[in-house]
Amino acid sequence: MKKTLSLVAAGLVVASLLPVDAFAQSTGNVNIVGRVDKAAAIRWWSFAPTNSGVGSNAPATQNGALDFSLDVSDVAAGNNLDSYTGGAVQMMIRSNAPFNLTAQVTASSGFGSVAAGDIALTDVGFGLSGLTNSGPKVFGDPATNSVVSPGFSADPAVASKDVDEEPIFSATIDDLSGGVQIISGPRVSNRGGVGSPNNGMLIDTSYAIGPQFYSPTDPIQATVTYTLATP
Amino acid sequence: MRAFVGVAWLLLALAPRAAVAQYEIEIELPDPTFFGPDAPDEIRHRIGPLLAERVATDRPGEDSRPAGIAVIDLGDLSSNNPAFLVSGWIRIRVYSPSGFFPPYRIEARALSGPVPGPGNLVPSDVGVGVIDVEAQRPRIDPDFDSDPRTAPKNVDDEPIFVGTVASLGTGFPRSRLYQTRGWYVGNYNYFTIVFAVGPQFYTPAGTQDLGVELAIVLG
Repeated sequence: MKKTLSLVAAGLVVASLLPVDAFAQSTGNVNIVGRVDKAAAIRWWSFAPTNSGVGSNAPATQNGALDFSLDVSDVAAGNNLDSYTGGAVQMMIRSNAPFNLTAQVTASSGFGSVAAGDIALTDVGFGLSGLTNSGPKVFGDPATNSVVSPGFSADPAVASKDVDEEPIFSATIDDLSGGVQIISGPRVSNRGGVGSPNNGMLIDTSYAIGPQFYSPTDPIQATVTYTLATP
Repeated sequence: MRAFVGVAWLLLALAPRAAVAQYEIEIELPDPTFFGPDAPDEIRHRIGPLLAERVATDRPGEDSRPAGIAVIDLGDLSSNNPAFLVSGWIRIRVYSPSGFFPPYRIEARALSGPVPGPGNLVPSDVGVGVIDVEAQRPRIDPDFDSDPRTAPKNVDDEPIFVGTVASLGTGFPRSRLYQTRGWYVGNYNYFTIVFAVGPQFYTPAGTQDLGVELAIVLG
């Protein structure tokens, strides 16, 4: 009898303990929430001078923020015997969505009118070339599938000249006075960050001036501002 | 006499199983000033708000206790975000009303995640690690024994995490975060779980929700 009672007691203990597991609250949840906005970045990559053109970016590190100064020095014919002076500023653009790039002359000084014999904004040739996918982390083929706006696809440094040795440019920075879209295209970057050398599209933006007997002026200066957007 | 010995054996054998029923995983609420307007810019920029709830409790000395659910908002994870790594962490306490802990494991698994697709943010982009464990002789699993906030990056600006939410897996058994190797006397154990994401040119997407389930398992 005593043994039986003991076994019953043991059974009750077991019964009182087992069901508790069924009500265990032994888990917790963490929800990580975020979002991915459209993003784009434009950076300086390199510079190739045309003859006497000199330039540098600040900072001078490749892939730094684009803030480039191009010095064409003296563009008076007779003093400067080059066919053209200027250079190609290569920039890297990245985006995770279709993009468009606009350019605008946001400041200028020293430029005058052609009629008065001055150097004018129309004397500074401008164009895009050298579209190149930078590496394996590019999304698709933006270099092929991007569209350069009409007139901006010629390299001004090889433009022909008329009988008076005045360049015949397809486009000049005067065309940028009001701000204009110069290229549009599909998504460029397949992941990776702004420091990746493999997820961007390289674009050469070229500037060229043909030395002529302009009215003496010092200095001449123009600022072109680029805006990369993901509409 | 033999029966009493049997009862005693049963009690010893079942005590840990009974105790697990009352363990609770709770979210420690952070100091509000840490995330508030007076917080340093870097902290406010890099760490999104932590949302957690409190629930009523009958514990002595506590009107309410933190619930076992939390939301970390990491904000914009695109390359618009200039942070090297966007991160968030949660201090978690494990409650034992019995006043002791037998050896146990903390396990985790992913519940849901972003939809895979070209260029998308995916669970393997979310680093996870466990730090600052306050428990009896804890041993953190090597896959998660690293603070993802200190992860390096490769040449493409992609973080090199030791453990990610993808490595937690989604099924059972869950992945072990850490285990203890002894008995601990006290009501609370603590650990911190850290998440980090490297901003990249992911495919744009609205709110991305990634759930992680934590569990305590004895043994």
